[in-house]
Amino acid sequence: MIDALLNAITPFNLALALFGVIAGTFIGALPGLSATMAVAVLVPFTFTMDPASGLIALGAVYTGAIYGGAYSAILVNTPGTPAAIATSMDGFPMAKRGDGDLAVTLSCLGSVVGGMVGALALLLLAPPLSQVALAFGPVEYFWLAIFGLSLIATLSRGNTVKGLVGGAIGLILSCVGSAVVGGDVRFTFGQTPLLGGIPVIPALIGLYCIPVLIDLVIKKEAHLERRAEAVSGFRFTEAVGLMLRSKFNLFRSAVLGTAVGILPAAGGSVAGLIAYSEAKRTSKKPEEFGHGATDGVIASEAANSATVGGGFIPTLVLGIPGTPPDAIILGALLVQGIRTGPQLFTQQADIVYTFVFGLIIGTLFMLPTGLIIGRYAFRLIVSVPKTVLAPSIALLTVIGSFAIESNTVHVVIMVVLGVFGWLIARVGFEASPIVLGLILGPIAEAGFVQAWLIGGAQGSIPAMFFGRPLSLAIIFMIVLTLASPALVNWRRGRMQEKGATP
Amino acid sequence: MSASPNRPVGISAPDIIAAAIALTFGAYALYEARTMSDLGAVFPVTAAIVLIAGATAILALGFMRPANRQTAPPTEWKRFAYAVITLFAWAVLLKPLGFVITSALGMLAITLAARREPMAAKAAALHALNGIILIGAFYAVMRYLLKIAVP
Repeated sequence: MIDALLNAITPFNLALALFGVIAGTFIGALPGLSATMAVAVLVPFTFTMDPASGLIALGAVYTGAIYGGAYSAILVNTPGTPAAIATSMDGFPMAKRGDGDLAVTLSCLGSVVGGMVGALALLLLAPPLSQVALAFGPVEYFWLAIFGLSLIATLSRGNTVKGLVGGAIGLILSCVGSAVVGGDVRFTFGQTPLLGGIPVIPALIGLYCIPVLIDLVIKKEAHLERRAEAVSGFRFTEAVGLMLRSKFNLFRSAVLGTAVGILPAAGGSVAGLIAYSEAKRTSKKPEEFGHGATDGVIASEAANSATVGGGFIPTLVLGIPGTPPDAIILGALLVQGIRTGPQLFTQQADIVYTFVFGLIIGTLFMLPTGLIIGRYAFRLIVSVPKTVLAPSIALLTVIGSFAIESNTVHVVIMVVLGVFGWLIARVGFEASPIVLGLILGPIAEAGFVQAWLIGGAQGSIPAMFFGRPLSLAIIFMIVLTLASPALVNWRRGRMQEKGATP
Repeated sequence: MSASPNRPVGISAPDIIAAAIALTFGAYALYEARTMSDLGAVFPVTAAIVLIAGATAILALGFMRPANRQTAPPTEWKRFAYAVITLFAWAVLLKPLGFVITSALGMLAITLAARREPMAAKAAALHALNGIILIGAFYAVMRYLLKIAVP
C-alpha cells in the first residue's frame, strides 16, 4: 500500500489530479455538461497513460464535476449536474440573501468531507460493501424510488398537497414515450421525437434555469443581494464553525451518500435528496429548510460527493457500475486490460490502490481549487449586470440541452418545460417535486414491473413486494419519512404543553 | 384546518388554476391509459389518481383556509412574451440558421429584453465582446474538444 501511495504522489500524477479537479469543476458548473460528459471526453486521452495515471485523471475529473454542479445550483438556482438538485434548495436562498460566498465555501467543505468518506470506504471496505449492491433486486429498487418520491412530503416548502401534485406531474412526464416493459407508446401526441421520452438534463435545465432567466428579464430587482457589510476572504472560519456544529449531519450524509453510491442506478441526485431529507427531518429548525439552511447545503454536498467513492465499490469489485460516469470508467479499465472483480484488489493491487490514493488526493485538491474558483464565481455573478447575465445564462441553457445528444428537439423541450415551470410556479408549484418524479419514475416503474412479473412467475406477488427483509427496511423508512412531519408537530405540542404547565 | 375568525375565507385564483392544471393532467392521463396494457397503465393511472385527489384537496383546503389578500407585484407580461418568443425562436431556428447566428441573435434579443436603461456605446461594445467570446469559446469547445456536431 505504501508503494501505491508513493506512486500516487509522483509529480505527474499530482499534476493530473490537480488538472482533473479544475477541469471537472468548470465542466460540472455548466448546466447540461454533466460529470458523465466530463469523464467521457477525457477517456481517449488516458489511453496513452499508464493505467493508474489514467484512472487518477478520470477520478479527479469526476470528483471535480460532481462538486462543480454546486456553483450554478447556488448562484443561479440551476443544478450544474442532477447531483446538485438538493443543493439549490437552500444554496440559492442563501445566495439571494447575500450569503452565496458562505454557501460556496460550505459546499466545498462538505464535498471534501463527503468525498473523503466515500474514498476511504472504497479503500477499506470495498469487498464487503459490494455485497450490498448484489442484495438489491428489482423490488428493492422500486421501494427505493418510492422512498425517493416520499421525500416530496419533506421537500415541499409550505404546501405538501401541491408538492405531491407536482410529483405526480413529474411521474406523468416520466411516462412519456415508449414504456419500460411492454412497449406501450404513452403521451407522445403522435410526435416521433417524444418516443424516447422526456430527456432528464434538458428538463432539469428548463424547469430550474428558464424560470430564473425569465425573472431576470422581467424583474427590476438585482439577481442576488450584496451583503451590506463588506466580508473579505472565503468566510472559511465561519464555514468551519458551521460544519463542526453540524458534524453529525455531515457524517451521516457522507455515509448515506456512500451507501446510495454503491447501488447501481441510484446516483448523486438520489443521495443528495435522501441526505437533505434526513437533515431536515432530524433538524431542530426544519422550517428553515428551503429558506437558506446551511445544514441543507452541507447534507446535499457531502452526500453527492460521497457517491463518487461509493460508486467505485461495485464498479471495481463486481464490474457493476454504480453511476453513469463509473460505467465509462469501467470501459476505460477494460481497454487498459484491467479485469474487474474481487481478485482485482489482490492481483492488480498496485493499480487499484494507486487509483484510490489518487482519488483521495484529488478530493483534497478540491479544497483550495474549489474555494478559489467559488470565491471568484460568486463575485462575478453578483457584480455582472443583468444585461450580461441573462443572455449568458440563455446561451448556457441552449448549449446544455443541445450538447448531450446533439439534438435540437431537446432545446425545444427545454424551453417548453421552462415556460411551463415558470407559469406553474406562479400558482404555487415548485420544480423539485416535478424533477423528482421525472427522475425516479422510470426507476420505480422498471422495478415495479419486473418485480410484478417475477412475483407472478413465483406464484406470490405480495411476498415479492412485502416479504423481503431489505424491502421491509425501506418500507419502514418510507413510513418514517411520511409520518415525521406529524411526529415532529406532536412532539412540539407535547413540549409546549409541558412548558406551559407550571 | 379551520379559518381564523378574524380573516375571511375564500379560495384564491392561484389555487383554482393549480387545481385546474392538476385536473387537466389527471383527466388526460386517465383518458390515454384506456389504450395501454395493464402493466403499462399502472403508473399513469396511479399518477392520475394522485392528481385528481390533489386537485380536490387544493380546492377543499382553499375554501377552508383564510383568504390570502397579499397582492403580487405586477408582472411585465410584455417582457415575458418577448423573452419566451425569443427562446422559442432560438430553439426552432437553431438547426436551419446554425449555432453561431441563432446564438448571436438570441443573446442580442435577450439583452434588449433585460435592458432597462439606454446603453452607452462603450457598454454596448463590451456586451458585444462578451457575446462574441462566449459564443466563440463554446463553439470551439463543442466542435473541437467535445466533438459535438454543432449545426
